Amino acid sequence: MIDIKEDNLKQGVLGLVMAIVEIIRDALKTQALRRIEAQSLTGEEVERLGRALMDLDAAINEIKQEMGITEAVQSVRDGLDNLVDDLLQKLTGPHEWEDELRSVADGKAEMVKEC
Amino acid sequence: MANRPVENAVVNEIEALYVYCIVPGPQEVDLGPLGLNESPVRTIPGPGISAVVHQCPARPYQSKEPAVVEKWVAAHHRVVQAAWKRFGCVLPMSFDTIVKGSDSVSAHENLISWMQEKQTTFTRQFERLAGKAEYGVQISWNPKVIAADLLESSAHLKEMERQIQAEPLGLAYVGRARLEKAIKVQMEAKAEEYFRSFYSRIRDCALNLRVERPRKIGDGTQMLLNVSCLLEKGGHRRLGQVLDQIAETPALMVRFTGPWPPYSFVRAG
Repeated sequence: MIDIKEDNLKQGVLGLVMAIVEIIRDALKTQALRRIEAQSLTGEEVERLGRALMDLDAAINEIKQEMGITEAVQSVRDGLDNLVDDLLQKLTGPHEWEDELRSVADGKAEMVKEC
Repeated sequence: MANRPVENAVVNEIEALYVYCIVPGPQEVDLGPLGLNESPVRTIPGPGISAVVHQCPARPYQSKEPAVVEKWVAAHHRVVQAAWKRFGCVLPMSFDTIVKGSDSVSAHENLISWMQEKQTTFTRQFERLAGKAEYGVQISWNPKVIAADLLESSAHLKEMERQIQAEPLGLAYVGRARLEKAIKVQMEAKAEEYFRSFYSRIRDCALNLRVERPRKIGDGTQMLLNVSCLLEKGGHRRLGQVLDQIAETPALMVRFTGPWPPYSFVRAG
């Protein structure tokens, strides 16, 4: 899922780190919006929070561009998205999974079955 | 280490049979070099049913090269398609379905006893699937176009956008984040509504329906619905009409493929 070859190892690690930073940023943003929508902050506080988040966005983008890791970060995030999708699919729709397991377990005639 | 090939030769002696599909009736036919890596494909007759196979080593076809795997999968489909054309009905097996032999029993014998064991199930499936074909329907939208449409048609969202422009930087940033969230919530509701409506309209035209996982296409569009439909062979007019109507909805793309052998409606077990 995360393709790290020797010549792009550094980029891969940086991409991974920055993807985690972005995910934390997204979580912060979600929390901030929740507080703002609950109207527990003053106008001035919202303004300060908004600026801080904006600066964080700018800093992340700058680092990504400087390091040339914009694509690497995206691919880590896409990979994680797919992983979560798979997990959700298995949790919410276990039938497909069951079929998969059953066909593998059905080894009476020594079927080799891999997809 | 230098003697490795000898070891491999021993492993290779245990022959196996790659099974493409099951067809009705006892058949003894050579289908030619249609198979994976141009392997010669033939049928092995069993009790009232036959298997379409090629002879192979007792290990799965695996490769790290996507192009190689794609070629194999295409060949698998080509054989199933040819058998479908020739015998009228097939029960396709999934890629890499291989029957092995053992020291005492040949792959051929194992295959025959497997067919004997499954005969009733397979015969029942032939009755169910005779004269029927699978069609694929994928409906996608372009999220950017939809988001722009939503913004354009909602007074509430437009008002949010207007306010942002008058605000200082920090508040404007928060405002944009809230606007994006509001659009996302509405888009999710719309996707859900579309799915329900399209699903029920498609279901009304099909004998059977299987919901598949929406695939990521990566061309900026987003798949809303991906279903496999079982229809009478050639009986796709009504569904085609319904899909034409759906395709008239702005910013929606409809993909309609088939007829395929009924891959999604076969249970190998």
